[in-house]
Amino acid sequence: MNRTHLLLLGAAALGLACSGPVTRYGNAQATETVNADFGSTDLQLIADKMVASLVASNRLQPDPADPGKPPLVSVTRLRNETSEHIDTKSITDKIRTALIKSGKVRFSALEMQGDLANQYKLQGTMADTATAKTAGKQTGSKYILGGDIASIVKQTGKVKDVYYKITLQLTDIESAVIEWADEVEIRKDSVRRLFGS
Amino acid sequence: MQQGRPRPGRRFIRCPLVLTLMALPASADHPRDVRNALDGLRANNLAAVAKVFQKDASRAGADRLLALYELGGCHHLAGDPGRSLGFFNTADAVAREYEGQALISASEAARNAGAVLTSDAALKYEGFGYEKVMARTLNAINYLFIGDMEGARVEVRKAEEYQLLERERHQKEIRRAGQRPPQGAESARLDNPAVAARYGRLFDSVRNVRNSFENAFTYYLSSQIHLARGEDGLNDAAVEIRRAFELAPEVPEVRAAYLEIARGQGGSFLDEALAALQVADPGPAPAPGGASVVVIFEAGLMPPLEEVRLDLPANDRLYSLAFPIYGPLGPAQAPLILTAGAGTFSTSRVLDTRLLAVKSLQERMPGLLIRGLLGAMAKGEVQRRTEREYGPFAGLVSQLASAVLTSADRRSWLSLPAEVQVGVCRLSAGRQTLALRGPGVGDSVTLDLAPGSRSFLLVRALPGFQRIDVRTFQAGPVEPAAPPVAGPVGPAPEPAPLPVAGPNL
Repeated sequence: MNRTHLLLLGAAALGLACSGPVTRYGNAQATETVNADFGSTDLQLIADKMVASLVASNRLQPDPADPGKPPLVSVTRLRNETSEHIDTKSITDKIRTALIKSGKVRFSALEMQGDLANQYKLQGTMADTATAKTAGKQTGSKYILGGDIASIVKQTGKVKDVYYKITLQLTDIESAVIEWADEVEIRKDSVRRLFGS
Repeated sequence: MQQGRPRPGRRFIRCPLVLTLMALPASADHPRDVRNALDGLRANNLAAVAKVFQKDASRAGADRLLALYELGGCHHLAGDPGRSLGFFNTADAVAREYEGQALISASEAARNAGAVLTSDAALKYEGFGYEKVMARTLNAINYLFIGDMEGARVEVRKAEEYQLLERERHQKEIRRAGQRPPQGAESARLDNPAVAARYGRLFDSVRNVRNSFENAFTYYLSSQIHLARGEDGLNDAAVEIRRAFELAPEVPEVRAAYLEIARGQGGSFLDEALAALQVADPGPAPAPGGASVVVIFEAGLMPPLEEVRLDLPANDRLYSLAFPIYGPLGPAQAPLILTAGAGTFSTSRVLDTRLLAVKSLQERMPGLLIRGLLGAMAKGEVQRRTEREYGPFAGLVSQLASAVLTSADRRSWLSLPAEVQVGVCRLSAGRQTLALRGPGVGDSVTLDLAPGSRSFLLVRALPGFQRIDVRTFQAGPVEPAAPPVAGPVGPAPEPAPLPVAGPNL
C-alpha cells in the first residue's frame, strides 16, 4: 500500500468519524438570514417596536372600576394573512411579556379559561370553603389587543422579495374606540446564487 | 510496466462506461411501490404505507420529494390529516430548498452529467407544477379537517404563489420552445412525424386545457374556505371564484358559487357576474337560517407513466430514444348522488388531474426531446471512444449497456386523485342525515347543522376503499372548530368497514 492509498484511507476514516452533525449554541439576538421566510429576528423586531410604541403613546389609562392599578388588557390571536405558517402566538407572547415587564399594563389570562373553569369546579368540591376560589370574580379587562400579519411575495426565477406588514391595535372594550394602533413593515429579499455546493 | 501508460486498474476506472455505470439511478419500480402502499391503505395498515416510502422520504436522495408526496397523499386518503400535513409541509420545505439551490451546484453536477448519459430518472425529482399546487390544495383540506381554518387559508395562498411562479416558468419555456433546437438536434420537435404519430392524439385531448398548473378546484376550494368566515371572507372569496369561473365556466357549482358571492358583494361585481353568467336576474337569496354542506369527492388515482421508444435522426445517424407517455387515461367518474329528506343533490367534476398531467407532459416535451437527442449523441460519442481505446468488445458492451440503461423517467405522484368533483347541499339547520351513493361509495352521514354554518364533507373512493369525513364551521368571526395542532396527531380512528356500492372503478 503506497502513501497515496494510506492518505485516502486516513481521510475516509476521518470523514466517517466526523459524519455526525455539528451542534453549537448561537446568540439568540443575532440577525438570522437563513432565507427570506419569517424568522426569529423578525419576531424580535416586531415585539420591540410595538412595545416601545405602545408604552410611549401614553394611551393606557387606568380603569376607573379598578383604580390604582395598571389597566387590564386581553390579548387575542394575531390573524395570519400570509402564505407562511407563522406561530403568531409567539409574537403576542413576546409583546405581552415585554409589556408586563414595563409595569404599564396587566394582562388577563384569556387562554387559560378552560384550566380556570376546571379549578373552580375542583376547588368547589375539594377545597376548604374559606380558601376556595369561585367563578364570577374575574377582573374585567379594559382593553383588548389584537391585529394581523400580512405579506406580499414576489418571486422570479432567481429573486424572492417578501414584504411583511404587522398591524396591532388597542381597543377600549366598553367604548369600542381604538385607542392606539401601529404597524411594522419588514422587507426581505433573497437571491439564488450562481455557484454553490 | 511501460512508462506513460496508465496501469490496467486506472484505465478501467477511467473507462467512460464505468463512469456511466457509477452514475446509474438506483433500480426502482415506483408504480409497484404505490400499489403496495395502497394495499396497506385498504387493509387500514398505515404502518405498511409508511414502510414503502419512509426510507426515500428521510434521506437526501433523488426521490425524496416524490416519497413525501406519496406519504402525504396516502395519509390524506386514509383520513389522517395530521400526519398527511406533516409530510406535505416537509415536502414543501424540500421543494423550496431545491428552488433556492445555486444554479450551478457542485453536488448536482455529477448527477446531471450521469443523467445525460443514462436517464432523467437519475435527476433529483423536483415535482411538476400541478403536483406542487395539488400538494398545497390537499394540505388546505388537511388543515380544514383538523379545524385550523387559518392554516387552510395559508395553504391556498401558497397554492396561489406556486401558480404565479409556474406561470412565469411556463412563459419562459414557451419562449425557449419557440427557438430553434441546437445544431444537429433539428429533429427534436413536437411536429416531427415520429413524435406526432405517438403523441398527437394524447396531446389533442388537452387542447382546451389552458396550462398544467392552474385548476378550477384550487380556486373554488379557496373561495369556499373564505366563505366559511362569513362577511369577513367575502372579498377574498370573490377574487377566487372569479378565477375558478374563468377556468371552468360550465361547472354548475362554480356558477352557483359565483352568483352567491356576487349577490353578497352587490354593485359592479354583481353586474359583472350576471353578464359573465348570462343571466338577467340573480334570483332570490337563500332563506336565512339554513346551512351549507360543501361536498368534495376525490375519485380514483393517477395513471402511471409508460415508456415509448422513438427513432430520431441526427448527424446522419438514427438514435432510439425512450420517452414517458400516458396510456389510456380511464373513463370519467360518475357523479356522487346525495339525498337528504326530500332533497337530492349531485356532484360535478371540477378537476381532471389526469388532463393536467398530460398537459404537463406536453409542456415538458420540447425540452425532453432536445435533452434526449443530445444525450443520445453524447452516448454515441462515448461508445465510439470506448471502442477506440478499449477494443471492439468493450464498444459492444458499451452499446448494449446504453441500450439497456437508457430509459424514460416515469416518476410522478400517483396517489393524487384522478378526478375531483364538488357539490353543495343547502339544508335546513338541525339534525340531517345525508345518504351518499356513487362509484364505490354507499353510506350515510348524520350532521348537526347550526344556522349559517358551512360544513365540508370529504369523500375519497378507490376500488375496495372509501372514506368519509365531515368538518363544520360556523360562519362569522374566525374561530377554529377545534384547537389547531402543531404537528402530526396520533393514529387515525379505524374507518368502519363499508360495503362498496355501484360498479368498481
